[in-house]
Amino acid sequence: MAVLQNLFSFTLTVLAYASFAIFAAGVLYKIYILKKTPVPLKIPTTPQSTNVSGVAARMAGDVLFFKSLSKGETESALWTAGWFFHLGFFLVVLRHLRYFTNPIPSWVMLVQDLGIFAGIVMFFAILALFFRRYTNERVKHITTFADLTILIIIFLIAATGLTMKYMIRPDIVEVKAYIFSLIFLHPSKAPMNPVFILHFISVMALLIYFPFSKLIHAVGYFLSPTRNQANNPRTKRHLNPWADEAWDKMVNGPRPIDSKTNEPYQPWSQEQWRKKWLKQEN
Amino acid sequence: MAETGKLEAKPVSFEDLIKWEKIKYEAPELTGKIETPCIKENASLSYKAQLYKGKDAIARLGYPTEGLIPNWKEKFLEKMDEMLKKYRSVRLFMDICVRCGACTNKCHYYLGTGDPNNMPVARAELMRKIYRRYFTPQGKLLGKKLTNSEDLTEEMLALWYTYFYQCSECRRCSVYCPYGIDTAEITMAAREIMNSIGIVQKYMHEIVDKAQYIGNNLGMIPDAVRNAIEFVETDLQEQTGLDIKIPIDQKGAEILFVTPSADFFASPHIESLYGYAKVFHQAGISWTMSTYASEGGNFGLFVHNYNNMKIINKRIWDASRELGVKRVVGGECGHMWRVLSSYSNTLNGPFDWLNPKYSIPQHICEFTLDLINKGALKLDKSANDEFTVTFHDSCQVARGMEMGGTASGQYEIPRAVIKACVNKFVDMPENTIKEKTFCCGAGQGLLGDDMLPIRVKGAMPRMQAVKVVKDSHGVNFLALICAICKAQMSKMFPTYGYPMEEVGGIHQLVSRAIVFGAKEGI
Repeated sequence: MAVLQNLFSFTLTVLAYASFAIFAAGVLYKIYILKKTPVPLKIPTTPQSTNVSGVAARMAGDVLFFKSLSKGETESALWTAGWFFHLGFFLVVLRHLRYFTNPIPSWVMLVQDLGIFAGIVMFFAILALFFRRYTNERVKHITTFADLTILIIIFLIAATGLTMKYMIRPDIVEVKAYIFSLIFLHPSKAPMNPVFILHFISVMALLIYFPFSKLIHAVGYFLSPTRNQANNPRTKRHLNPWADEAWDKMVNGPRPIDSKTNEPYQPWSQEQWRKKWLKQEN
Repeated sequence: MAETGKLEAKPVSFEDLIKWEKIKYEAPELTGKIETPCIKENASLSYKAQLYKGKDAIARLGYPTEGLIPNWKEKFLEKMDEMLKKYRSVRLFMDICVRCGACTNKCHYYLGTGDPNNMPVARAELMRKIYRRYFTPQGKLLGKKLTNSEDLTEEMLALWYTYFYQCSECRRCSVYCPYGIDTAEITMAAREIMNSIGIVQKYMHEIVDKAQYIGNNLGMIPDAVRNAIEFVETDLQEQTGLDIKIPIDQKGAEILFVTPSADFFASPHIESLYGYAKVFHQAGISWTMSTYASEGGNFGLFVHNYNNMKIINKRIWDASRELGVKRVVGGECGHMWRVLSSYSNTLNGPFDWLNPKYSIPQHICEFTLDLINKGALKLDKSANDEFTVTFHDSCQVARGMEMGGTASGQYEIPRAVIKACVNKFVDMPENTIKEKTFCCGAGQGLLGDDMLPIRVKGAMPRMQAVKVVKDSHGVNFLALICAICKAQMSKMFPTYGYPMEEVGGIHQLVSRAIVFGAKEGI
């Protein structure tokens, strides 16, 4: 029995390190790829401010209050469920800092009760989002397997978290000791509370899935060209890094023969156009 | 019996899948309410755009001329990879959609047809299905079911052709999307991918070629342009009894004026051309039009083909340099303005030979309002007393640019010009104007007669909004600032049972109200 437990504990530890590595590397890689991909033209969705501070204000409104989403007349339910879910998730993460810090900062202790409440809010918000995916005909139509997977993972995280708080309490000292052993790279034996293990595994699953899934919207939003560009194309020149290369490739590439002039067709050449259409003048 | 079964199972060729057929259309009854319809699977599957068969023109645009190329799958993925690497918008919008459904009832084509593939998210999913299958690790490893992806098949390609040509790239969905996902960017990329394998839509590519090859969207050779403008000039002089000139190719003029070529003789577009000429005449500023840059519009915007767009745009700046003008002013047009104001500087800038005191380029509404504010234009509002006017914000103007250097000038400046010309102005309901404006239903390459059935459905939300103000305020004039809106609405008004004459440009109103004579300002 002890051997099996050790083996299981070892697996959990490996999973913990692996998931964190995949999460960190995956997200960084995604950001790198997206950052590297050029934005050839200015495409902000207007009305957009003409200066950077205005753009920052709009983005803050989007991130903090889901401003764009709230513009829709039929999105009040989604806004409510979505906003409370995200806020709840954020507060719950803050609350969990007590398991990763020693000594625990006083502000982390201050958000403990709020964090518990946020966990309950988050739990019901997920249920509401679930409910919406099946009751709204249009949303049901676009829902994919991946959307459900993520909802289920997060539901498991919230449900096991609340279970540990209110029903099956694990040995918190043991849990924190395990987490610290992971942080300081000399892993000890994992706590064998089944609810904790399920909670732990679902968080790992979420971390692994994060960079490959739609969860990447958390960082992707900040790179969205319709939101992060200032609306000043006439006063400030935006440059397309691949414009010259593409132009040269076309100009120097093979051109179709123009039957009228018997020359390679060059639409960018004013002289050719004159020769073709202004014969009467010459 | 077995034999009939065999006949039915006969595979359908790709040509049949995307074949254009004439479909009877009928305008829905107007209620004044824009209601979200229930999903009707495949409701608009049969509305296809016509394919382009003009081989010379397709070759000139740099696309394969013989229809779908044999190794299309390979080329398709190659081009898609290129799009993903060249446009962050495309790559990012593939990744970050959470399918929240906020956009599902925002598209006028979905509101008009109820076809689920016309929900912006579902339209984008058509591309995401291919993206997940061929460009993500999970799509390559796990099955199609788990990742909700799709193999590249002729059926899938037919869906692409159908639904990416039922998007007018109006960007209404990007307003409501919490991440600003712009379906227009995805549609543009999809169209370019299809072009590169030889599936070229007729209406818009015929025009892109004409604009490059001949110089304007209507394919008028320079002499024809000159004749048309001279005709307008004579008409104007007869109307007013004044010596109003429309100069052509005049070197050393202060202003080069570009406008969509439809303004030269289409109705109601031409009424606005009268207005522009009268404004320039009364302001006493020397101006000229150009036979080389005889087109303001730029259909190159509608696909992600940077060079084709740049070539069309280049004409304007080449002409302005050659004619030695100090300013470039553009007429009323939606997508033309998006390219001119938002893209020109990137495409062909910097414009150091122009006068930096004025915005480069300047919108005719900015120009006119500036004159009105300076007192250089005298307008008699009572000349338009027979009209109660409302204003339709063109999608590309409302959601794609700034005017007057302020974030919401594109809403205020045209309205200010209208209000200076008329006594009675009302706005349509709040959720159908400004940034939430509905597309006229024919933008971005869907204005062809082959697309009439879908145009009628797409115009429904705008027509409902018009009905609201018609019933409540007796509105009898819809003011527009876009050549495509003018063409579409002058067709849709009669279709929905309203007189065609109730549609017109803002400068049509200016033209009626302008008072000639001594200037009071300046």
